[in-house]
Amino acid sequence: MQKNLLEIKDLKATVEGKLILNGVDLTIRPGEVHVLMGPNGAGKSTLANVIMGDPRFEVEEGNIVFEGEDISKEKPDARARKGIFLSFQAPEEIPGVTLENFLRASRAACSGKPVKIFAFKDELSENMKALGMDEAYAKRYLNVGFSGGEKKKSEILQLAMMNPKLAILDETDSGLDVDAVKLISENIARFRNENNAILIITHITKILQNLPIDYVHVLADGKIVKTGDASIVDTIVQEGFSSVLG
Amino acid sequence: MEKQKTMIEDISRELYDIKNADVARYKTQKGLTPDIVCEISKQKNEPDWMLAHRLKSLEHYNKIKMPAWGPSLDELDMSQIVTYVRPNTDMKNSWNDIPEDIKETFDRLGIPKAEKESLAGVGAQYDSEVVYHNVKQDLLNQGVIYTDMESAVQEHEDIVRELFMKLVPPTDHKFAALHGAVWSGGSFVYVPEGVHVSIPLQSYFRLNAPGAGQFEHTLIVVEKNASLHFIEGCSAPKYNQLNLHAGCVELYVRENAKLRYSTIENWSKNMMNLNTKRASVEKNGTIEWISGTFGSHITMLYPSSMLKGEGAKSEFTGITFASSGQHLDTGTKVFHMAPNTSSTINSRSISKDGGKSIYRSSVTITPKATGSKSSVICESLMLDNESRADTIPVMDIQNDQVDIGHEAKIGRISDEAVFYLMTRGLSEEEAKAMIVRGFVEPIAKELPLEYAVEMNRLITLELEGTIG
Amino acid sequence: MITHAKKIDRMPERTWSWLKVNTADIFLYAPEDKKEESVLIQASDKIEVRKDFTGVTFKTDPSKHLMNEEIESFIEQNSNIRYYIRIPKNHKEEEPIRITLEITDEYNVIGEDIVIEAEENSESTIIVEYRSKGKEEGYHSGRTRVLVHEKACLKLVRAQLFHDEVKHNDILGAQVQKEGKLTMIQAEMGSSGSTAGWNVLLSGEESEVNLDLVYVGEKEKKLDFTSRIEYQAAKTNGQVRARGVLLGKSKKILRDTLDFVSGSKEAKGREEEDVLMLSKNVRNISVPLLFCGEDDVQGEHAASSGRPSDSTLFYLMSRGLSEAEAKKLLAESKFAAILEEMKEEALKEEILSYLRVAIEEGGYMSEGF
Repeated sequence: MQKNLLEIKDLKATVEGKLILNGVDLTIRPGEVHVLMGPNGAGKSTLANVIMGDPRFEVEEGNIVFEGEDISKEKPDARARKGIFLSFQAPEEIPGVTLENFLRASRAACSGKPVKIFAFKDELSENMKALGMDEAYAKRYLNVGFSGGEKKKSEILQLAMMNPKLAILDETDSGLDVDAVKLISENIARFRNENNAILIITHITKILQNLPIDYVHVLADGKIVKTGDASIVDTIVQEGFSSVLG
Repeated sequence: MEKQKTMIEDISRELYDIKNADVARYKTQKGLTPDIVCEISKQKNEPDWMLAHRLKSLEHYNKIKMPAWGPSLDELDMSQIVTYVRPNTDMKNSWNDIPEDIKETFDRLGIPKAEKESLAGVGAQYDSEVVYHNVKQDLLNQGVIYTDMESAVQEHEDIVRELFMKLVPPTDHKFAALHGAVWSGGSFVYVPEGVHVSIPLQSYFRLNAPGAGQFEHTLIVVEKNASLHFIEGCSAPKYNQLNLHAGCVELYVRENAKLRYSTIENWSKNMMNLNTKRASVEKNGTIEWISGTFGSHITMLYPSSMLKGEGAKSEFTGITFASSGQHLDTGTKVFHMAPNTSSTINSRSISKDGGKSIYRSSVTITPKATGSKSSVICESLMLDNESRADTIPVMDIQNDQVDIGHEAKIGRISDEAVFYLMTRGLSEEEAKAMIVRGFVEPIAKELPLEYAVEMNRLITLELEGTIG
Repeated sequence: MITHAKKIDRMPERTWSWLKVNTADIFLYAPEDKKEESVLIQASDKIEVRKDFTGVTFKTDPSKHLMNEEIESFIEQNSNIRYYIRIPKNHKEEEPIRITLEITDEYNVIGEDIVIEAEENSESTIIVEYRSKGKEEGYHSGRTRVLVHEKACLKLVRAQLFHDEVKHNDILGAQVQKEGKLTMIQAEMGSSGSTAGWNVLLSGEESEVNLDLVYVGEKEKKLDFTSRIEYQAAKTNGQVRARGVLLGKSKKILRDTLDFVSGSKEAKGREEEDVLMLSKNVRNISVPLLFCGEDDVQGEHAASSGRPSDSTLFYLMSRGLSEAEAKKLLAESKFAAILEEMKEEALKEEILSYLRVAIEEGGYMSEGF
């Protein structure tokens, strides 16, 4: 058995004094694809943001271990440099910073080396093509005036460029049309290999089509209440959460 | 093609201009001397500390210079102003006991009717004294005090002595000092802890005597967890002589309390309206200012909010309508003095027929007021090019943990908007009227219903020219 | 050195004096011997450059609004760098005209008085760089007057890149005639403190001005800016954009006036101010003034200030940027929209490097999260 990539133990987190995560346990190994489902307000996005180190949330108990190292106290940039990536549900708009310059700054920060401009540009253009993004978007301000679909493509482009060890995708498929979901799903499949892992938070299942799913977790009231294989997804889709929450 | 101008009539003043014969029981001499001040105090049978306060204020008045900014006050000659005019009646709590001419005035202004229909208490001032005061019994039972300021000095001396002119000290500016020396009339309201006064209280100030000044003082305390809506109305008939209004309003909003203070000011165009209003707001308290300035020759009025406690809030909604012969300099001041305080300012002004409207404000965020927010929106509508609309805001931000936004706009009724509405079947006149009504709507919707109706009546639209 | 200190009204209408925004402190400097070694002007031979102002007339001197007679006569009597630059009628100057003023330990006082006249239908770019060498105290006070004639197009880039020991005072007055266009980018990056003012008169129909200001405040620096556009004619268009970053214990004030006088029918004006505050001890005073005596105009103002939101910082940090790097990126982004219109890459990069250095030297050490 391989070493654990991410190990979360008894994680409790609050926002403005309100308990959102109430003892989450989760282990992810390299090469695995995990799906996190659950009713609205269960704490799915909170879990994703807490793993990334969102300062709005207070970790009250438990810890987050990444590659054997407790990262619960680390700042978000340190976590990113260790190889954790979060595709945001509602990505920020940042006027004045072009997508390309942003990706270059991010690359420089993560690699700690100056970025080789031409190789970088080629890589960027290749990844944008794969996502069906017009290359003019590279010169546009980060997410400013992007449609919902374009913002999600921008997130997946960042995933491809940063090539993290653990990708957390928070409802990357929501609000997209069928073609966009298919394209994004293909790009996630392209990213996946035996050394990295993916945690997908989703309500719909189209995004999962190209991916081999290892585990499905159901989160309710701040706790993982059920874990199983891909078959749970079908049960939930057909019968709703009540069927698995019992 | 010459663009058509929208004609918006002056606010109809007919109703306000009916004057009564000046049959005051007592009047001071014109002008301002220590003797006159002593005489006012004597007439009111005041405690010594108040007389001392008046005389000290007069000293300040003589020392302080006229403001070095704002509209010119050169026309004001204090030696010609009668500072105290005692009406020919004592204060009553029944309209039937009031002399017929005064009662008729308030009848015409609709005060007794409004009292019956939609108010929990009414005070009515005629020249320098309150002639009528009444409040519903259930409020009295809950410990609410609503009376004229003179009675408060006698009956609630401890509260008055502690708070009177502490928010607006006589040293504040020249007309605060003047007010301190010759104040008369006004209202005192005390809402005890936890009491919610669900129906508004209203004071109405009427100045009838020509060449006189009105200097009423309003002092309101809303205790912890209590709430109140207070309405103030003012008017006067037009004379050829200058009248002066230099009132003072001091509002104490305690922890978690809420006070809404609405004013519709409709003084005649011979009035200099130099009024000072200030609120102190404690932790999680809220002050809401609704301020409509329609009348007067010159107005300088900037209701101020001192946000002293954490989480305190201020909302200012103001409208100014300046027409010919009017110079209305209005706005607000907000001081964020504690963490997480917030303020919103929403101001609209209309200028026409050579009228001049100035929006003036200051928002100060002190180093202590971290996490504070302020949002300012001010819009001016110019209806012709003989008029003026100026905007003079200052924002002084002294820490970085803030979120501050300011937006201002000046312009005319947009042709595109008129066209758009016309494509939907409205006539040009209807379209323009709708746009002006829409412009004042954010303010109108904050007014009590009868005042909103009043405002719609006041601003009647008449459009010149036909299309094509 | 001859000096002259004065408080001068910088508000078109005074407001409450306790706000202390009505006046600016002006210090003027000029050397006693009028030596003028430290100026370099590069232009083609089509451009007239001379040292005397004979024949130069302004119907209304646009710089007068920013000074009084005393200051005017000080400048006229004591300035040591005095140039008249004329771009002739119908001439298109391909390369930018460059003026470089340099303060050195030896020549540490500059009293500058420059007139630029862009004649009818001409087209040109002028880059003025204010630089310093050495480390000693230096003094600069300048007046620049600009006359843009009918249908002329002038782009003026002014970069103030003095070191920390230089005191800097600047007055610029411009007049734009019918269908003329003035574009100005002013970068206030260095010095121990700046007092700077611009007054632009849009005198001719359909004349246009775009004023862009970028600045950085750091340490205990005090920045005092005044900007005014007067719309005198029909269909004039004037825009102001100001972007600044405040660090350390710096203090900045900007009085920004759009004045639509009667007759400025169909004029359009917009002012936009955006201030990024990166330290809890900074002070930012904004005075956005709109004056209007004509109904058929559109005037707008928008101002915002504060520090970057936690969610923005979190987003950038989740992509691997440290807090300082994220703030640097956001600060640069404030400048980006303005600097992207500058073709001079090297100068642009130099301006940005002032910003980066200021942030690296401790500007980012606010509490953040």
